[in-house]
Amino acid sequence: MPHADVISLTLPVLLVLAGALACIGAEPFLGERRKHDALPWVAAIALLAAGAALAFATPGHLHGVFAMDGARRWLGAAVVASALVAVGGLQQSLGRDRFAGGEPYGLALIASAGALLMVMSNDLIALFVALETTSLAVYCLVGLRRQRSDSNEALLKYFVMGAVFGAVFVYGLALTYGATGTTRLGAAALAGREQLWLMGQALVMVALLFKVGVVPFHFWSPDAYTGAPAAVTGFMGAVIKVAGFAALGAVWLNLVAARAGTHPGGVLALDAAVIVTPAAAKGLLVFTTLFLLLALMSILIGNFSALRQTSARRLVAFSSVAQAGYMLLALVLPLSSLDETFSLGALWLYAVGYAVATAGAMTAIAAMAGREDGDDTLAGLAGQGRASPFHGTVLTVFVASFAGLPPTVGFLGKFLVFGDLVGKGHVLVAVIAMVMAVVAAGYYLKLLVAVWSGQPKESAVEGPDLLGRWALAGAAAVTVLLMLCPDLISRPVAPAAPTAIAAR
Amino acid sequence: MDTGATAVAAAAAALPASASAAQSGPSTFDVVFPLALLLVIAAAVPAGMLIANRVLSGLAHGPDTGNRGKDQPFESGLTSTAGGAGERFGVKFYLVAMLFLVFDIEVAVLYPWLLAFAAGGWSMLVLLLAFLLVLEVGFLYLWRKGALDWDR
Repeated sequence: MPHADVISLTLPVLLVLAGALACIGAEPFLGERRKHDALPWVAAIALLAAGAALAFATPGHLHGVFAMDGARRWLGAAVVASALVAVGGLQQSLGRDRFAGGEPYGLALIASAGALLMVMSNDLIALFVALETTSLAVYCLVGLRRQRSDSNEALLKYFVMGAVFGAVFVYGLALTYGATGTTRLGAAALAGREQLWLMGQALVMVALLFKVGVVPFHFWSPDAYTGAPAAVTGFMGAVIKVAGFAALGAVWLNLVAARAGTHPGGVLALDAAVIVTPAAAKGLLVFTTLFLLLALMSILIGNFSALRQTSARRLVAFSSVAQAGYMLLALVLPLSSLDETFSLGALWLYAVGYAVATAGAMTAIAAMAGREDGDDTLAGLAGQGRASPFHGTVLTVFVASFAGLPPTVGFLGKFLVFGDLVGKGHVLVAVIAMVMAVVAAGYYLKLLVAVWSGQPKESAVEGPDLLGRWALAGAAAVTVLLMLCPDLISRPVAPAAPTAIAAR
Repeated sequence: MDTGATAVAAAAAALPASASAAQSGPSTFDVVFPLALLLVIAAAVPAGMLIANRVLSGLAHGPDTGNRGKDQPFESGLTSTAGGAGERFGVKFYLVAMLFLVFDIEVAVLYPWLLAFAAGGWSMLVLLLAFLLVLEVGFLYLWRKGALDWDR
């Protein structure tokens, strides 16, 4: 991977940050009613510009600290798209609630910039700073309704646990540095420091598993998802999950390649396929086992807990735990002892599709749940789909994508993950995951039935929702269209390419 | 927290497998023993302090009779000068301490910038202006919000 131009590589982040500065600087100068009219459009323009910059960013890396490649471009695009949808949702629901303050838009942009940096990071220190940038802004967003006790509870839980796992990350970073002599990803351990290295990498990955909410690090997510305004729930569910899995995948892919001795040196593209040697697969067996166990626990606990929820936000929270489990399955190494190639294309496609659908689904629910998201229970949402067909229809598309039904990208994501799993020899796990996907369809259908059935009453949708509608329509279109051209994201760079095996 | 520790312990327990693959390198005992020693010391030191405190105070004052006065917070030999630990302070103090960072960071960066400016030339000015822009937007925000107004 070549060196990239500084401006070309960082322009997307700079544009998002410029938007954040504009939003925060202009906020105190606008009247109470104008904030929700003007600021979201500023944020949307910044995000659109960042998306364009991302599309034209040249692949390459910046001193090995930040990098851009095919997969990172898509993951960054998912961050930008989710943020755009969420800004639309924030405008609609905060405008409806007459929220006193326009800071959420600036905070959402800061969190998005941090998430973009997380996606681009190829260095543990850069990753940590980006992670904290995202987290701090999201903590503020979770606690937006500071008069409400559930919001405060969510904020405190999330913040304290987030700080603890931030420390776990730094500990892992320190151990990794001690073992490899560098904070860059993809360096192998120095002689005799193999175990220190694996321990450091394990701690780093535990911290990232907390961020994406995998069992047993999921306990914060139902409360945080429920205490936050519904539009924020969509934002954090989408942006943190996609950026967290991007970071986790980058750490893991580099660890596998470095352990196998097949790392090309320099920066590894996230869409590269690496070669796993039998020795590496054996040495990393504990990680594979843990991934399998945690993924299965997430899928079982998340899905069965979601079955019993009545609040839409809580249902999505537990469903996101289960979805994190499905994504984690994509990280599992092959069982076979022959030289195998390993790539994360299925994870990237799944994460991109999931992020867009989550931001969209929660934005639609926020619109239909009425003042202060008070009616986000299944009973409260009854009949809203008929009262507001646009929101009902897009919600149906997003929930179909969660459930993995065919005309959406969610189907393709599950198909690729399960197919990969069978190909790697974990047939039993794939079968359990598939059965649980059917169980999950139960509560997804329950949500859709609640929205579409019941007495059609007055639509709860009010407030400025022009931006939200366009963003939702775009997200729904993306959710369907990505199904038609999956190779864009999931196809790995051929393993025979010299970049993947140069240093073998 | 417990769960994090369990995962780490699981990773540690599985280390022998990779140790055999690596051939060279310290044995599992070499890795785990110092860690175990550290844990024992970490538990023993506070426990020893608590026990010593109890034993010594028992020797000096006789058995603990649960004197209410002894449980009071004290400072410089005076009891309850500032009230209990749960007393609330005005949030203004914390706010001012935080706002101070804006100016603090400005000075902390401006001085080294000045030293580097001589070597770096005029392109350094652009960097400084970008830095100040970010900082001043924050300053503008808190000024307009009335955060600098002590009597609000």
